[in-house]
Amino acid sequence: MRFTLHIWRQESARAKGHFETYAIDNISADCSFLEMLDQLNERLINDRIAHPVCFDNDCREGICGMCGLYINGRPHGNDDGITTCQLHMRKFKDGDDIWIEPWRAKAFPVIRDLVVDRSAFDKIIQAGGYISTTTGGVPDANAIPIPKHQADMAMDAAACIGCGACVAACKNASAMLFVGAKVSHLALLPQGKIEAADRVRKMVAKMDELGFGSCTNTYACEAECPKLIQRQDISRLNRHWIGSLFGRDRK
Amino acid sequence: MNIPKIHSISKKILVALLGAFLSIFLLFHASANLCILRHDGGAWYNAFCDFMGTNYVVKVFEIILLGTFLLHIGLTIWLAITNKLARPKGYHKPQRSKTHTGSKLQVWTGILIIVCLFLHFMDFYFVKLGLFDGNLNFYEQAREKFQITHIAICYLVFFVVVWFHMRHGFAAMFQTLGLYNYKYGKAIEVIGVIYATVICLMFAAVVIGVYFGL
Repeated sequence: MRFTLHIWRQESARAKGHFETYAIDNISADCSFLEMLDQLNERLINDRIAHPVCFDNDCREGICGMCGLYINGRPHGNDDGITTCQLHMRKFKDGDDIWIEPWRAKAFPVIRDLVVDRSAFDKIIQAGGYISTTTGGVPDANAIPIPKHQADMAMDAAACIGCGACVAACKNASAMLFVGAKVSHLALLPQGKIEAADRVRKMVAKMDELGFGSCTNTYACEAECPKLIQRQDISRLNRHWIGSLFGRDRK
Repeated sequence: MNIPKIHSISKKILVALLGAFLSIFLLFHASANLCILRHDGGAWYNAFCDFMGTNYVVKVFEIILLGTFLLHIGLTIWLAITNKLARPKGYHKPQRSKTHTGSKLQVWTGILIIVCLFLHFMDFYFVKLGLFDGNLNFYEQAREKFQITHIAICYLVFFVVVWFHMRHGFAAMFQTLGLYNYKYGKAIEVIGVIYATVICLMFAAVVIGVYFGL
């Protein structure tokens, strides 16, 4: 297959970026998107054309949340429920023009080319996305009974890999789906319920402080989430937020 | 001085609650408007207008309503500015994600509603306040205005815009107030469509009825 790639190139966080066009051919339809970029980089290095294109990646099997490219107007490209590393070139037509951009958000500044700084998500987690219990020995799995549907919902929310596609897709660069998932997966379980009100207050405050936008219910985040996190987690976040305003543990 | 910070979710919740209040008022307004279709020389409608213009409880309610409306707009503008700042540099390729179009239209339908409401107030509310000249008999004023083709068309377009705004706003309100889940999600959306349609049809019935001499 042959493609014309339009890739965002930016020397550093402070440099002014621009799109660079590269033609690439002999790409297998079964090759993954990141492998295609690897092949491009090999050519850029071997033919001494330019510096290789920088992009984030790690596990390349859709579980680490490192990769994240905005491809032809969609985070993670033209498929549902996948990360960029799970996108294959067979999803494109031979001869396609492919526009590759980094996540765009004030809270996710570009470091270089297609790599953005997503430590804002870490800061939100540090603000309250944990259970502050003293750990002892591993408790018996059946010591705290949890209804199946409750456990399933918590597990679904816990599937969030923090890739940032929700922020990238949202027209307001809102992190509500991410925060909703993190709040939900803890608050749905008895161990996390105790600090739920305090947690939601701290995480939302941090989210606002870091400059993420607010949710205007377009649900682009839900449509683009590689782990299929649902909008009801945002609703649950809102519910917990309202509860936290009147909660007894309000400090 | 320490100014308490209003978090983004709190702003959204306020917008949703104010929107809910305005939606209930619209039902009240549309029901009263139907009196215009009665062939009683405006007795019912003018009695209603008289009650609205003289009752002190209503006068307080009028101030609350105006405040609600201005706060709904003000908070939305505030949120829109914050949202714009959250993405200083946009994407080159337009977004192709599957989204709810209603949400993307919400700001624009909101702006259109403000413009249309101003024109509506020029015909009625501002006349009552003495800011504009016009017939203080609103029954006659309405019957006169709605028989003019371009005014009738403008009002019908206005109701379509209100329908779009309410249709999305209704379901979004449930989501923002944390009342949405997948079990009742579809039902909430359907009820929202029905509610918006009923209200807009009630308004439109008056304009169409008067225009065709009913």
